[in-house]
Amino acid sequence: MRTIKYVALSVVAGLVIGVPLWMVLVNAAKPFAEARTPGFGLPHDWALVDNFRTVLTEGRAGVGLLNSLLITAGSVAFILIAGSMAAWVFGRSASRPVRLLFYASIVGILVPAPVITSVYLDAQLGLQGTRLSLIGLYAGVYLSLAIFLITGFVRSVPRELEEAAQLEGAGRLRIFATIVFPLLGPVLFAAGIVLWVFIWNDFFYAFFLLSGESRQTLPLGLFAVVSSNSHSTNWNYVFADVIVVSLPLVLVFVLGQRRILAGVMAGGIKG
Amino acid sequence: MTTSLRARAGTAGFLLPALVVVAVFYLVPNLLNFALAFTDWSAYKDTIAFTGLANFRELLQEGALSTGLRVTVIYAVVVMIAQNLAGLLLAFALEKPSRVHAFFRAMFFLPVLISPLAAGYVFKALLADDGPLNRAAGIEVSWLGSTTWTIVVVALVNAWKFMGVNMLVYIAGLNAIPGELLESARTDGASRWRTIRSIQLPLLAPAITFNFVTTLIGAFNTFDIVFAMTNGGPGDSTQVLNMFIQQQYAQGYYGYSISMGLLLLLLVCAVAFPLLLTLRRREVDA
Repeated sequence: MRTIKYVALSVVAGLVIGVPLWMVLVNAAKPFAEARTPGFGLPHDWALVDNFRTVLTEGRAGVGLLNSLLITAGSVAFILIAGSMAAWVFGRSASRPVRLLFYASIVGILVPAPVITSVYLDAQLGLQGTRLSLIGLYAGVYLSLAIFLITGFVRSVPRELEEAAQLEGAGRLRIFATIVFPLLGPVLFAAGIVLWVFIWNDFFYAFFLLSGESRQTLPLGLFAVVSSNSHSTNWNYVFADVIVVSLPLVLVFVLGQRRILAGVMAGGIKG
Repeated sequence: MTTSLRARAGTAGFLLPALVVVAVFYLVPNLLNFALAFTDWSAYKDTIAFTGLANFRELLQEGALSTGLRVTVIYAVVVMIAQNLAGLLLAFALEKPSRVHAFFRAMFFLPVLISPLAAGYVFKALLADDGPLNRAAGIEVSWLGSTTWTIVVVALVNAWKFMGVNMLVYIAGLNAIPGELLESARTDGASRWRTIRSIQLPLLAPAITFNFVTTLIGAFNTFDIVFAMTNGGPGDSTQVLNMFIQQQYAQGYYGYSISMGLLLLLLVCAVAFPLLLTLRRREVDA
């Protein structure tokens, strides 16, 4: 019985995950002419290194990597820190105005940010096309999810430690930085992973908000590679770039798989 | 008095960074929707003038609204069913912790990590008329060329990309069910199917609520996968609302584009909030 189940799972995983993965890998290793109509066969001539070199230089994947890192790390760090500070207040106060502010700040879980009016706003603020405008948008939308998850966690943390520190005369900032923030580790880890995946992979918002090649993120670079040849798609470069865009997250996932899945699951239960 | 004032100032200080950013970069653009949707803001004029309901009248007359709504709703419904069904089946198969299960969980979670744009391009290549799938299987199915079925194909790719999230949420829900309940069902001689139907599915209600609401909202707001796979075609048969918004924006009709954005916003609110409330209420009853 168990053997049948494992065989069935292997077949399903092989077809659903293995086939697309295989197609990406073999065609990323083919020279242009061979990858013109992508197939499942192994390359006759191997061009994997050449394709990666082209993607990194002409496709500006290096710039994309830097921008993606900068924007994702900046957004996630801000969201987690500002979100924890707010969630501490929300989790500890039962007053009506604070509760209303809490609801106002988690609407973003359900209702996404409108993209065109964000462009308009950024123009008014003098931020049009900048990385900062994109970080602002990500923070504005995803603080909702972070605040929601962290507030739930704060409520489950006993107050005694904070009260003891207060009696000893510690200020609020100090209590937050030395006692509360470190206790939030598990939920910050879970929320951080989810946010990192959302923001790292986002194309939609970046497509509207960022301008200029020097600011493009990895997904924008992928779009540029796809659009670079107007007659036919250079699938060899496209698939090489798909690997470049995906590899950082996949590597981190493979290394920390168990903790990551457990963390995401813990976040899911709370929701 | 001074201490309470200082405490209050301290509280405000902790709330301020998050609230200011949410207000400026999230609430203000949402409110701007309600103003700019009624204007002729475009790339072709230096001024922005109030034009009342003109944009909405145009959306109706051009048929853009009915097409966009129909396509988006079909897409969202297919995604909601397929993604949750796949997630649920995988969760039941991989529910118990073991090394083998951990491996398969990781495999099915892998697409979640891939950028949706990249996933779209991968399937565009895979499903092309002369693509590897048709050639390997010896068939001639025009996966991406049907004005009827391509929207379903694209929706299924969306389900493929995100089913790992639904799977994890369902596994977490299943693992939260007390072992004694399942134990006593087994001693009472309940079949596997009976246990699933009478115990596990009802107790999964919170996970189902979470998954249905998030999947539906995600599907309403889809863009990357459709943009990569079909760019709205063939014809306008996969023209989801965000595709329309992007195309009008790219052509410089900003106000017009925003009027559709406002309708998308209202659609999400109209569906998400009642659904959330209904499912929550049923959860309490169950």
